[in-house]
Amino acid sequence: MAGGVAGVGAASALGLESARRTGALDPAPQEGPRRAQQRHGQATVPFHGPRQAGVATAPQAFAAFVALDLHRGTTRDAVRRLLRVLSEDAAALTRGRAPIADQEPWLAENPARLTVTFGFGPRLLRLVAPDRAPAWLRPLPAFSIDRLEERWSDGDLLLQICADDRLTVSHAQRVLLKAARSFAAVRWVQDGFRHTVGSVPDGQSMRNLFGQVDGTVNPRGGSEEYERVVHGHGGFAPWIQDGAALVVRRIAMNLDTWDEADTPAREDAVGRRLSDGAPLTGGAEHDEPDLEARGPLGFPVIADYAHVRRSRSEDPLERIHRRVYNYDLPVADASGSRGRGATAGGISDAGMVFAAYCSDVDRQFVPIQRRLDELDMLNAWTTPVGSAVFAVPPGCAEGGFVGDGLFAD
Amino acid sequence: MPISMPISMPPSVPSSVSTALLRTTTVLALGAVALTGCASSAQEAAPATGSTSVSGGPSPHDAGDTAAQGPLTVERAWAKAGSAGAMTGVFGTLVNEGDAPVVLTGAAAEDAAGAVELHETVLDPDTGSTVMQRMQDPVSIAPGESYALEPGADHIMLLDLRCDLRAGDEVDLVLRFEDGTEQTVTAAIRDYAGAQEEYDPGESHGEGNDEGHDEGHATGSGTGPSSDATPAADLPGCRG
Ligand code: HEM
Ligand SMILES: [Cu+2]
Repeated sequence: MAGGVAGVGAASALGLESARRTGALDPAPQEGPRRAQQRHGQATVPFHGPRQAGVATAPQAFAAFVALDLHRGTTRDAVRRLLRVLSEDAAALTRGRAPIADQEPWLAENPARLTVTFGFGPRLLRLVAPDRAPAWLRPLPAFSIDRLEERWSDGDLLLQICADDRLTVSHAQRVLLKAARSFAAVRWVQDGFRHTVGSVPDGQSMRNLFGQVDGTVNPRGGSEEYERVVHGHGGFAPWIQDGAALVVRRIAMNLDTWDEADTPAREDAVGRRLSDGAPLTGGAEHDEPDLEARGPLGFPVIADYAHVRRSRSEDPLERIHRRVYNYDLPVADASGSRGRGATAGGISDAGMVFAAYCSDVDRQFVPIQRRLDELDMLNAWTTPVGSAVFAVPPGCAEGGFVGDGLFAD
Repeated sequence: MPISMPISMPPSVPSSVSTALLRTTTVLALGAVALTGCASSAQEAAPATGSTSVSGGPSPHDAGDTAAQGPLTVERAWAKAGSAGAMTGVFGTLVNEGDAPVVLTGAAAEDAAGAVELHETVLDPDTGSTVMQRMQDPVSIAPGESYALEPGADHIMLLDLRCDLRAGDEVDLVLRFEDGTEQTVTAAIRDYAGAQEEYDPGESHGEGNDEGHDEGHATGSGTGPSSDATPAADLPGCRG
């Protein structure tokens, strides 16, 4: 079991048990090459705990971000029941167990590090605990680069469903939506993907569809910086202990106009090398960019408009934890090229489900996004088409449900 | 709701020929294969509680769902959501971990249902549709064996619901045994699209009901458009 859960802590007893039942474990599981023996489908991430899984968790290969709208007239008690049912089903699924009333229980047998992370939209949190709703829980301010579409924006309840097996994500999504059907309607679903398991070494930054190394400078789960950025320890107080904030931006990436840019222009736009993600000022991927460095003609090596420069802040508190996924939708009648600034047409409909966690949206996410709105060469090829803000509640204990603390009174 | 019955199933009911013939497999020794998938052997110790759960409090149905304050271990007990006045099914796996047979004679759910029956489901060879009907005999579960209550098969039927059974809530019922003992079981309530068998109350009741009742109307328990015609928001749930 050991190999399959690297990066997520110890295997749960149940993960072990299900691995044993499916014959995935040798009689002597400690022996042999660590990774080769273990099917990654058997790896589990604990659902229960003070914090929700799926934030610090090393990103799984596949994600479905599902936003729900509560039916009109939904009561606080109905929300409680909805959260209970969703939590119980999610807890079972993440262990590789079929939830009660699952009609395709065999599809639950490979949890593949499944996590289900709940985010509360403004309407839901105000219904449940109006006095707890943070000021930042509202749509982001409008940015000049935005071309937001309602079909990718807002929502009352978010389920971030992630796993290393696409079938697992599908089944979990189906089970949870069936359970939610009488309480809420689906507002939007955003599917995303990263490198599949085993295709690149664990822990390596992913590549996005521009071909860039993406995720280099990002607080890792468990680090001091992560604690500060996401949960506000030594930073901005979160809305509730062990809670966080989540911003989901859908950002269209125009691959057709990106094709018109050659490597030097592409690297100049970000300030990093495409080959390995190293800063243009030299070194390796994880070396610090030298923002002061100047070239022979006196211009900065990392341009004033470079994404890396613009997304940085002097303020160590003004940081976010990015947990992004690529999207690449099929395009019917794909032909020609997508025009500059357009969000439709051409042979691709691709981009990024830009999910970012922090503890205070107004003081962390918004200032960064504002700077990028003012100046960022990447804007030439990227267009935000969706935007949603959620309050991420703490995790729950065994037998509880996500958000139960808000119903305690 | 024309069917009104004693709360527990009488130990003996006049049997019609067809039900006697069709009543074949009562005790399944397979465990909860269809219900639990791969999870059937991974029981987590969840405290048995027959008590009502407090809003926001822990639920015994999170995972292992074992209730054992009585002769049986009850795994993954759940009920299909339903509206007041309708009927609905209760499912789960009853395991006899003792060393004597346990004979289930009936059940009651006084807070939730006007009547409770043990039902079996039979396939009508003429139409291909399934019909459920009262069992004619008590269910005997041998030591070490399991008895599966499943949609489309044997189940416990709650008739004449006194309140809405809403997904996310729980309902208590009392199992009754031949030796006079009882056992309280708490079932998690879930929306469920299946378990839509017609109810054929049989000849023995003479209630003049030949219409059959479809429990499938009660598939929604939230407050929205997909819930039943009676808006669940306005009716009392069984747990208030
Ligand atoms: C499709 C849109 C975007 C693309 C393709 C993109 C791409 C990149 C790339 C290639 C890097 C450098 C490698 C790394 O550190 O990950 C980077 C860094 C970064 N990006 Fe983006 N990005 C996008 C949108 C955004 C947005 C919307 C934000 C925030 C509002 C953002 C914030 C950041 C931050 C904070 C860094 C790290 C900067 C540092 O301290 O070095 N990015 N991005
Ligand atoms: Cu029935």
